[in-house]
Amino acid sequence: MGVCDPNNCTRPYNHGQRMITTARELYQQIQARRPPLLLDVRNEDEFARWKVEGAHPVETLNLPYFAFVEDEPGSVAKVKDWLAGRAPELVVICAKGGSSEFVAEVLRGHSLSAQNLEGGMIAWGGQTVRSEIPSSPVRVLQILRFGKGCLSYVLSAGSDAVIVDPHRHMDEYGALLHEHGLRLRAVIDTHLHADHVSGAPALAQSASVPCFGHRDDFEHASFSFEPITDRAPLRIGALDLAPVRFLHSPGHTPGSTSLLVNDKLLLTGDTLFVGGVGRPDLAGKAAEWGRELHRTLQERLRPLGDDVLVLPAHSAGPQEARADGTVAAPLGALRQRNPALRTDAATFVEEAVRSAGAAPEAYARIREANMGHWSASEDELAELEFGKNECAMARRH
Amino acid sequence: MSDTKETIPARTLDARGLKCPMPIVRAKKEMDTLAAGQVLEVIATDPGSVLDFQGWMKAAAAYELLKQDEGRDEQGRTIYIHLIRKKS
Repeated sequence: MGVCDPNNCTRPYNHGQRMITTARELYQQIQARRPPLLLDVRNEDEFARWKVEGAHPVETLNLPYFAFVEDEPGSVAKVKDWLAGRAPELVVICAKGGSSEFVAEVLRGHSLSAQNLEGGMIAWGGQTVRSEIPSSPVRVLQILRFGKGCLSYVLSAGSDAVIVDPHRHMDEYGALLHEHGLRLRAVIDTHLHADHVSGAPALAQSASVPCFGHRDDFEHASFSFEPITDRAPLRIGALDLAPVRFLHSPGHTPGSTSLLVNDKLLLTGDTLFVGGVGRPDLAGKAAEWGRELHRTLQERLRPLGDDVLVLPAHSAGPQEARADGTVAAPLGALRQRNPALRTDAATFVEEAVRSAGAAPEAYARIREANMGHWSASEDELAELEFGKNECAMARRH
Repeated sequence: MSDTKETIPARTLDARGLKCPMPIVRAKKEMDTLAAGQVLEVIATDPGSVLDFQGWMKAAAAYELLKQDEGRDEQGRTIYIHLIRKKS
């Protein structure tokens, strides 16, 4: 798929050339510093809100598809001006892949080599890459949903697996478990997510395994959950996963919980990120939750050793990824460079209140969906999740 | 806009169920057949059409966007109605 068959293709151009590229391929090209040029054909507002980016610079022209409908020769001329004689691979992007395919066809008709980003920004926001975080006895796989900056984790001991903060594309986890010969034993949500629809309850239900969540976040959920006990090791029936321990870390939400794995790794959820901390203002209680968050950072997380590797549930952007693509940082390094870990309570709370702002409108609906109070079609959910996560506390200037 | 003659559509394009770029591709074809001063009504179900019609109208000097409305059709779907006029 993606390459036309020269024997059957009736198109007069580009025989044998690729017509599409996938979001994962595009991400990997950017990471490898071999980015194609990008033509984003969405309207200017959508482009300003969220676009394709990676750890290394990409060059993007935003020229909406309706400009091509309105004035094809003029728009093609603009693209050619921008290319200025370069004849690179050009990838065309829109929200869902329809308008970009239309524009790619137009460009191919003018002898330009253009590939369509299959599935558009929806696919960019949904696809993932995986990396192993070396550790034992419990093994850890980090799954980065690069377009949205969401991270989930698969923890495994022998053939028993636990999934932490899964997103709603359940098939992916099923395939991963199958590939690694793992059996799902439990699912954990570190907190009630607001930026993306959680896959935890559905995944747990489909495998008939418990779904762990903290009572302070999930008390009113319409599905049954296994309440998290602070400082307790993870036990699933007779299965004792002692190297995985819960650490209640309220602030971003009241029930936010971190997971200490092998005494070496700390899955922090949205409590602590590589470049910041979770925003404490999502419920309009920036001062109260901000105070709680500061206490968590100082009294619960700070005493853990400098070598403990922080593995967050979000990345604020590709600049937070390490050279190998993983999103992680030792607690000691974060103590040095993360201002939130260095300020006193009063300053921190003041900052939390000052930076409090509006969350995307969809977040209230997403929280309701993650409590099981509401559901919708795949299209509606994709629409709701559109955009990069906005879960970090705004940065100081 | 206060002149009612100007806002009565000469034609209606049913673009329900069409995904982008089709509502605008079809609307452009319809506009090509209209006389100056005539109005086209486009009924779409794609929520993206709201911003896209606004953008298209900014890019197209020959047309103007008279009105955008939201409603429900007989099947209960949310519909977006765009009224556009050919200026010249």
